[in-house]
Amino acid sequence: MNDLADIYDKIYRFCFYKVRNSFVAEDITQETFLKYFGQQSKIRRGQDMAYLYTIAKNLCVDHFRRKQALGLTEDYPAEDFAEQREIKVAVRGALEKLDERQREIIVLRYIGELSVNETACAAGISRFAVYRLEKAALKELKKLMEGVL
Amino acid sequence: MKIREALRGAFTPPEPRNKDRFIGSIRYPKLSYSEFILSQIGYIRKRVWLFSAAVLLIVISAVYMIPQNEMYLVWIVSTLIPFLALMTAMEISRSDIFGMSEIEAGCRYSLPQLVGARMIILGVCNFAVISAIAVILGFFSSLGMMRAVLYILTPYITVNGIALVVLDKATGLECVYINVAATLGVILTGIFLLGGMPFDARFVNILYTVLCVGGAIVIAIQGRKIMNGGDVCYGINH
Repeated sequence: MNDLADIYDKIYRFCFYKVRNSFVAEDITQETFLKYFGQQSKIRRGQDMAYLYTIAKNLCVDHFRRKQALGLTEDYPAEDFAEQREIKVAVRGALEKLDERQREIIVLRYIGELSVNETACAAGISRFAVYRLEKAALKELKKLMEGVL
Repeated sequence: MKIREALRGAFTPPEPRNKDRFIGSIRYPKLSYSEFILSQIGYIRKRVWLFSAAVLLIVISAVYMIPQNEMYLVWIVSTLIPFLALMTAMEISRSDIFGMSEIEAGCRYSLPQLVGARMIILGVCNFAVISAIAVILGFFSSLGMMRAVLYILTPYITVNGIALVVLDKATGLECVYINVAATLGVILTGIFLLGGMPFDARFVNILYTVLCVGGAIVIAIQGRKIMNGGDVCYGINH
C-alpha cells in the first residue's frame, strides 16, 4: 500500500508539473492508475514505472487539447510565501529554457523523483545517457539561475 | 545542491485531496505467492550463494584431482556440507539474531512469511547443490547413489536440526557461537566416522540413517514452530 501511495505522489507531482493545476493533476493521476490497472495486474519498479509515466504524459497532452475550454489557472500550495514563489517562478523559467531532452530528464529525476534506472526506462535511453544529460542540464540551470539562488 | 533543492521545491503541488480514498478504493491484483517468494531472493546475502557455488566447484574439482580415493572425497564433501547447513540456518534466523524480528514483524509481510519464503528458496537451492554432489559422487565412486546421498545429507540435516533448536533456545550472538561449535562437532564426528573408518561400514550406515531421520524430524518440528511463531500475520494479498 505504501508503495502505491509513493507512486501516486510521484505521478501526481509529475502531472502537476505538466498541467500546473492540482485538481486536474489529481484527476489525471487517478485516471493514469485506472488505465494502468485496466491493462496491467501490478506495478513493478523500472519498466512499469516508465509505462505509468507514459500514460500520465499522454493524458496530460489530452488535457492540453481540452484546456482552452476549461480555462483553468495555475494554483500554488497555500503555505507559499512571496519569496518562495519568486524562486519557483525563476526555476520554472530556467527549466523552460533547457532543451527538451534535458528538461525531460530533470523533470523525471527531480520532480518525479525517479531513480536513474527508472528515468532511463521512462525516457527510453541508457543510464549513461541519463547521467550525461542530467549533468549537462544541471550545469546549464546553474548558469541560468546565477544571482537568483 | 541548492539548484537540486530549488528544482524539487519549484513544482511542489498542494497536498492531494483524494489520495487515501482513491488508494483505498482502487481494485487491483496484488503480488502473487510465487512472486513474493521470488522477491525474497534479493534479500538473501550474496555470500550464501557464493558459498553454495564454491562447495559445488570444490566437489567437482576434487572428483578430477583425487579420483583414486573415494572415501577421501566423501570426507571432503561431508566436511563442507555442514557449513552450508550452518549458513542456511543463520540466514533463516538473521532477523532474530540481529534483533530485527520485531521490526520485520511489523513490515509489509509478517516475519513467519518472510522466514518461510527464505526457507523455501534456500531449501530448493541446497537441494539442487546436494543432489548435484550426490549424483557426482554416485557416478564417480563405487559408493553407490544411496550411500553417497546418506553421507552427504546426514551432516547437512543434522547441523540444520541442531542450529534450529539452538536458535529456538538461545538468543543473539550466542546462537552463532553455539551453532559454529555444533557444526565443528558434526564435522569432527564425520571425519572420525568416515575418515578413519575404525567402525564397520554397516554400523556407520545405520548411525547415519538414524541421525538423518532424527534431524529431519527436528527440522520439521522447528520449521513448524517458526512458521506458527509470529503473533502478527497479515496474510499475503491476493
